[in-house]
Amino acid sequence: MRVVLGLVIGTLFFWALPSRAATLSGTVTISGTQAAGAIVYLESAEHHAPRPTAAHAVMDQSNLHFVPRVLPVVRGTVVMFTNSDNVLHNVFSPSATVGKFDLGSYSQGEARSVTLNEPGDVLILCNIHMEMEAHILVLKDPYFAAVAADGSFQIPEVPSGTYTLRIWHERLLSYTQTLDVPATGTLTVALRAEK
Amino acid sequence: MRGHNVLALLVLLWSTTCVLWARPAFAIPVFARLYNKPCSACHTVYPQLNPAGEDFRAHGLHGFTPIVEPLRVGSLFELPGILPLAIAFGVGEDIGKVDTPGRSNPTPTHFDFEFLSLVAGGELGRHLAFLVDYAPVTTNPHTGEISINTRLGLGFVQAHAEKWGWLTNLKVGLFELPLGVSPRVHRLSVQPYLVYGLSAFSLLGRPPHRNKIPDEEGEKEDATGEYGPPGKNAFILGATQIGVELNGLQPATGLSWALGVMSGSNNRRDNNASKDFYLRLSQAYGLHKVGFFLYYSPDLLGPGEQDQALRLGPDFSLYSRRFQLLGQFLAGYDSNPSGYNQDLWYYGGFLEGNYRFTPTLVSLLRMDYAWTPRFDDTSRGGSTQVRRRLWGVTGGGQWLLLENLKLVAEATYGENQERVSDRTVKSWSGTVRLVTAFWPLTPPGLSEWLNRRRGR
Repeated sequence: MRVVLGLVIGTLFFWALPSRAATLSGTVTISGTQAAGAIVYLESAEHHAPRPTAAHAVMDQSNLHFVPRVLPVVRGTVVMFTNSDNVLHNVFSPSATVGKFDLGSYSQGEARSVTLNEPGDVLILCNIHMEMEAHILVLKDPYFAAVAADGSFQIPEVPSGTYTLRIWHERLLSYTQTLDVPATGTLTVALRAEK
Repeated sequence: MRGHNVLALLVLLWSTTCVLWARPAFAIPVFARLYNKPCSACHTVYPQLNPAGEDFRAHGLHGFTPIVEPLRVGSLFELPGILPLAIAFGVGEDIGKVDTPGRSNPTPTHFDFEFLSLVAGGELGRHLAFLVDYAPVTTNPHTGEISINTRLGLGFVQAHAEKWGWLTNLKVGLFELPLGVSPRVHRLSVQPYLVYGLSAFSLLGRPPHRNKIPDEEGEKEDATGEYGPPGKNAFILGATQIGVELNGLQPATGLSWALGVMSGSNNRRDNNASKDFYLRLSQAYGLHKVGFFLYYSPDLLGPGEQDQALRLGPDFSLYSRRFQLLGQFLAGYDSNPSGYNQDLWYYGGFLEGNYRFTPTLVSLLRMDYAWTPRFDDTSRGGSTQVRRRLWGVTGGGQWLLLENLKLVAEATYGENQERVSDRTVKSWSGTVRLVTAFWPLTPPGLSEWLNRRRGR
């Protein structure tokens, strides 16, 4: 009994210790220009326990736009699509690899949701308004950041290890790079991608 | 250069200046201006409605918040806060050719002032709305001749109520029949639908008996010739009709219906005392729809012998973000179209596909078809023997250069075969035109000034 109690206390003590994690920061340029709106994310070959994230994310429909236009989420997230427009909207995705869905048409004030479990780029469209388009990037691990207008990004609390760094951008085919993240401190990178 | 060409060029120049110089919110037509919404909120490509536009219509032209507070008149009645008026017009080059048996005719082309119309509409309070479309100037696409029109194309008031899960509207005035596809007002294609423009008389190739369709005194012939025998008030499905309609939509189930009573004399004086009835049932499955339409007239013609008429048939529409497929089948029956008690059935329909390459570029392809079994009233004292087959193919595209300015290119080839006399008339026509709708006379800043004055 003492052994079991000791193990439990030891485990809790270990978890309570400050995590051995670093911050990844840097800048992204695509073909020489700051890659505002891009998403930088890390994928680990090892399994890391996902850090707590919001169980829900929201994508609104406002002024005939999806807001935000690009939404990164961790797999398993429930994404709620609200309609702030006083116009009928429809939400659907033709993205076969991560699961097609059609939430139907609904009016202002209503919301419908979908759980996204498969990692990948989920194209979000409105059947009624062809100009409306958005992307939900469903990620395996919770280590991601949206690139700011000045091209900078920061991903905090990345456990040490070897990762594949990827950049997602609407007009970029793919960018990958292997990255070793130290146990502590800040790792700064300057990422240059070409279209 | 002919006079109307000069007029067309001047109007084109003036409107282009207006459209390019006006700020977007004030340049665009009635509803977009009233609610400060882009046209694409309710239209695929103007004037075709998207499902949000259909929804706005089902809500009795209500549901958006006006950018300028309406002017209250009593507790129920309101007037739009800005002048709810727009001008729509088109100019372009038309080409057409008609080959009769044994004769190939020349191919005239002319730069035409295609149409000019004034559109007004809006809410008149929580439960009332109105819509008016008047085209004072129309052009005959075959000759380019401009004529003055004194008749409204559309003009109705409607009351709206929402009760027990139903959206209901009571419409009174001059409006389109609730067919599978809007025959005129919200039609994407420049070319009218063949089956909506047919009458027993046009199929038989003869006008109704003169004593059965009283012409209005001094009335000129319909310059466009778009629907039916010119200058006559013989019923045409595609024409707007004077009447009353009650319609309902249950959003939860997608079921809708419309029931109407009308004079059945197009937008003209009624030609007899009997009234016509119609019913439409429709079921929506998401954004797709199937429907059925039935029209019954106890007498299409004027005093004298009766000509009972029936028009009925199913329709469907498949709607997706890029692609739309529209179909209509109709059967028509006239009990006595030639005055010799010989009835006529005819059948027809169309299938149309619209594909949107981008939000501003749409293409369309349509097949129209109609035919009659053999009609022969000679044994009853008449002289008409007809077995007709009509078909046409229309293809084209529309490109939105600006939100309220589009370039339209369309071509149609058609054949009109009369099997009894073995006579086939072949025709083809094409048009390239600019179409726009705007209101240039709203002084910039008026809305802001009114809003400031009201403390909004």
